[in-house]
Amino acid sequence: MNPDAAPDRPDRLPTIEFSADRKAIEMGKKFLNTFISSLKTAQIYDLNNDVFLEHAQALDDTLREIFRMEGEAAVEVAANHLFFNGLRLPMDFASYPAYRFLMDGFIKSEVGKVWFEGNFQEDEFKGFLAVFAKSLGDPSKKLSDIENELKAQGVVKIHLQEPQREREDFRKISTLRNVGKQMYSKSIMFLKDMMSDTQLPQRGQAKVVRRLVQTIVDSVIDDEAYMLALTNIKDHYDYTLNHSVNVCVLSTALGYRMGMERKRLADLGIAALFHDIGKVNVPKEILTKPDRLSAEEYEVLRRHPYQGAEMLTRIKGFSKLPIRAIIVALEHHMGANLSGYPKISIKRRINLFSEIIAIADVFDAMTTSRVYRRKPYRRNEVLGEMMKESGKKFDPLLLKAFISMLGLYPIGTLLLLNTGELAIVLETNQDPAHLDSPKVKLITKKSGEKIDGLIIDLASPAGEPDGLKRTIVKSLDADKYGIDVTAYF
Amino acid sequence: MNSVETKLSDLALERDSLSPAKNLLLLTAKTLKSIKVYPVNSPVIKGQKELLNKEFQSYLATNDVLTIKIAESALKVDDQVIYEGGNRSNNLAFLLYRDGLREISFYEGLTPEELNGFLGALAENWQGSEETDVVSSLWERDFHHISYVAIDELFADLLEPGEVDSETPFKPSPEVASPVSSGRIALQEEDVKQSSGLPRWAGEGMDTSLEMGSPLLLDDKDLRKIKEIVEEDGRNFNPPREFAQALFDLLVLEDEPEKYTSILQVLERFLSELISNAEFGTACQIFFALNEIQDSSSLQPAKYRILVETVLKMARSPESIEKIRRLLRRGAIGSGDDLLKYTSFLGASSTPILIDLLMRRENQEMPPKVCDLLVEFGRESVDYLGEWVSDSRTQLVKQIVSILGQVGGKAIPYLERCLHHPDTDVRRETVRALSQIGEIAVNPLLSKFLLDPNPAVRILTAKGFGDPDPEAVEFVCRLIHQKEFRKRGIRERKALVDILRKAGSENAVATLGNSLHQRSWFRRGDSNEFKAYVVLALASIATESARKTLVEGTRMRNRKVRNACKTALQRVGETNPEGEKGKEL
Repeated sequence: MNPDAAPDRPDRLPTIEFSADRKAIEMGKKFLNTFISSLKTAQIYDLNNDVFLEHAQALDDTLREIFRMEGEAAVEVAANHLFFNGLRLPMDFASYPAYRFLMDGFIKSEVGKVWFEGNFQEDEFKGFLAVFAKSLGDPSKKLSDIENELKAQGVVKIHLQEPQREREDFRKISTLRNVGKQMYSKSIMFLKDMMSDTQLPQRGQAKVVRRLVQTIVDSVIDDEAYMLALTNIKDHYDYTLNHSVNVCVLSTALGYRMGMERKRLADLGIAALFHDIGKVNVPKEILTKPDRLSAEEYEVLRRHPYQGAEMLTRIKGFSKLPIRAIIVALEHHMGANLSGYPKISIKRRINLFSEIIAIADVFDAMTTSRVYRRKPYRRNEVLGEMMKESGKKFDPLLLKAFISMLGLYPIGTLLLLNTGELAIVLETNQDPAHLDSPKVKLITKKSGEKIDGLIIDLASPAGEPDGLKRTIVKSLDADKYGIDVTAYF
Repeated sequence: MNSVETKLSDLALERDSLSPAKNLLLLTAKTLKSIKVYPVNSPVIKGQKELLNKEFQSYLATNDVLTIKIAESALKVDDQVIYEGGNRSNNLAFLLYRDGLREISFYEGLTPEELNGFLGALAENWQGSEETDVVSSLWERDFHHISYVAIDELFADLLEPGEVDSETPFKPSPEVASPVSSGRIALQEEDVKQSSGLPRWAGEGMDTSLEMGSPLLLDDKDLRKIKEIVEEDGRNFNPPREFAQALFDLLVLEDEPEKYTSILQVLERFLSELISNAEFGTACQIFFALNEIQDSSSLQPAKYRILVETVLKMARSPESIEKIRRLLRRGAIGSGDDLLKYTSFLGASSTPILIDLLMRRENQEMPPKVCDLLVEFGRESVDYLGEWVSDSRTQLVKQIVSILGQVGGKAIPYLERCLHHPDTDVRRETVRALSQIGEIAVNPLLSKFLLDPNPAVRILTAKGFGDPDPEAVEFVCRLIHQKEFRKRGIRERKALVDILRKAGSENAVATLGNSLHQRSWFRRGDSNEFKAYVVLALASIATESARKTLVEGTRMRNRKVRNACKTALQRVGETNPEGEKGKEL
């Protein structure tokens, strides 16, 4: 065999670089944590204080590691996000307060970017931290003042830059989005293939499922907003398949926000993908019946948790998939207060995965039109309906976290603005105080003429370049106006 | 130096610069082979891992990064082949290539844990599996100093590139927020009419403010709570236990036969899959969980019993046992530790598995644990166990015999089959086993072993008599009377005297007395030593007839015997003035 043959063979399939960007993101998060804690300590202590020195040393160590791997280190605030060396850093619930501190400091001081060259001196580094930390707490100091002070301190290897208004050059964003799209489609096709002929999952499929979900998890971590946007895709003919993938994306996104590590996110994703597998055995006449189900029909439907669990045990190599998938298949309709089905008599908390997936399941189901509900709820309306079930069907804290992730106007919602323009929600505002003010894209003028409009941050206090301060009047039903919201992502 | 020489010299330099990477790869392959061959805790593996880590650290300290391109049967660094494997089953390159890896990089800062994790990911996929693959295993380990490039070969049959747009149920747009077609959208009247007021998502009376304390906002307390929930889930979650608990909860409530059966089927199927995939650790956890539930719940004992019986019935069925044995024969079960724990739940049904485990030589710590379980289950499975004494493997037969000895009297008929076993060690082990049984029932068989061709076996047998019954004593007496007896070694003869001493019966004393009178022309020293031992035995018996025999002994011609008898009598008198049978001299 010629050892040279294989690498020269053009691989027609897309290649996915695992770890490299994620590693940079992890490094970025580590850097930000040490940077922020150093700044906070520098605001309180003088430069010779042990506490400050300890934090500064940790930051210095992190920077040295970054220089070895990346050559430079830069943190940037743009479009309400933090970027590390050009990569947008995801914000989970826990990291938000610290990141907000830094972002607010940057914005007030009109600093867009801090850039560290390698080989700076210790005094220079300490001087920078002292000046920059104090300046962040002083609203009167702006970029030029800070730069002058740094110059006076002899800081030459650490630079500041003004903010950039538009920032969309996310590193490899198109590649990532391609991977995300493909995984989304492939997941649906795979589920279809898996369940179409024999209804019995075949040997080797456990491996494919694992790889698919791992890639979905990577896509959620890399570009959560985009993956959440994909959940606007609704296929009324293959509802269960489409729904399963949407629930997988929504659940892993929430799990990630909650701080779950990748392995657990993959387990969560697999459980989500299969949560409704038992419905394969429910007659289509029942699933698509436009009228109210009879008692007998409802009873058949209520059996799908058992059937799902049983089917999952029949996947060859199932033991390599998480047992939690079976538990979720059994529990996802039980409800947080156990008022759902199947009924159990022993009071206990249902599994965390079941609670998360139950929320994602209902959200996606209610935002999809069905035979028995031609007009789906708007995405923001669903959250309101779900809030009514907080503490009953849904765990209140997890539901709150879910709403924090999606915002009050979830990605893909069609909005009517006070200007008479229509807009699509592109991204949720990370600041909890601005959950109701997402980033949107204008799609029509006031006159109704379709446009490839501006991307507007509705939380921006100063309004937009055209001088208008836009607010949301209400959400609209995109289907009613023939608008395919997914086309905007 | 001409240009050709220069090129050759450059090439040589290049090769030299690659040799550390080459060594690293060879060492990696060697370490993987060790992991495959040796038990988990083997010092060989530990040593090789340490060496490999040292070599990696040294390489990365100089080079910052090691990037390896992966081909089907070769690995390359800087476009030079540095590793070329032979057949696929032992080829490191193919192992990496098979699941889609095309490039892997190790960065400075690589920790021993990461290296260990990398080796672990490769080791668990060495055989090639339809359930896992190297890429997944690497992904799950979430390395910081190892990155890789993989192709999506697994998904190739699902969708070809380029088909995404036409086949998928949506039309992805290549750019972020790209424009849509021109046209106009006219708002419908109902949408124009409804205007401001409460946001549409809000329910009536719901607090929609986004101030601190809003039911919609996560505050610090919520964030802490979320962190706790996630940590607790990671720390305490026991999947098999929750699974068993969920099934049990459902079972408690369901009375309809159909649903009831469904639940049991889920459990049955699940365990069956675990067995098929050699997931015995998880299967054990299910059993543990069932025990825990039983302990903590007083509800529905009848249903609980059915649940447990279903599980055990399935697990103990001959089909399940045979399935595991097939896995063992295929070498599909790792160290076997989990399997051993699993068998402890199965009871005697697991005896065939335990015997298979006993035959494995990979894990040196295994046999004692296996033997303990076989002993525990042996009473119920003695017939199956006993058949193995006819096996051709001496070592196995020895172990089975030893186990049978601990099982007890039921094993005697099988131990008898070893009476004429060609291997001395087996016969010796059989004698030990019989001695361990210690019941009178073993004496006839032990007596037969006194005629074993091997003196060591005979001595062991003589020493192994615990409580000699009259038949056994009679047999020994006859032996001692035989002319052949005097030709036997002194140790054996003494051992036989001990049997009579333990018996202390009249015929024993008579036989001992007679032996004092036997004459020997050869090996006189031995003869005196033997007779002195007989004197001591008589003194130990110390019955009236024994004393009488000793008194007779004081009148014998053999001075040494005479003196010994005198001394014995004095001491018997001192220690046992009442003349009771008693303590040893």
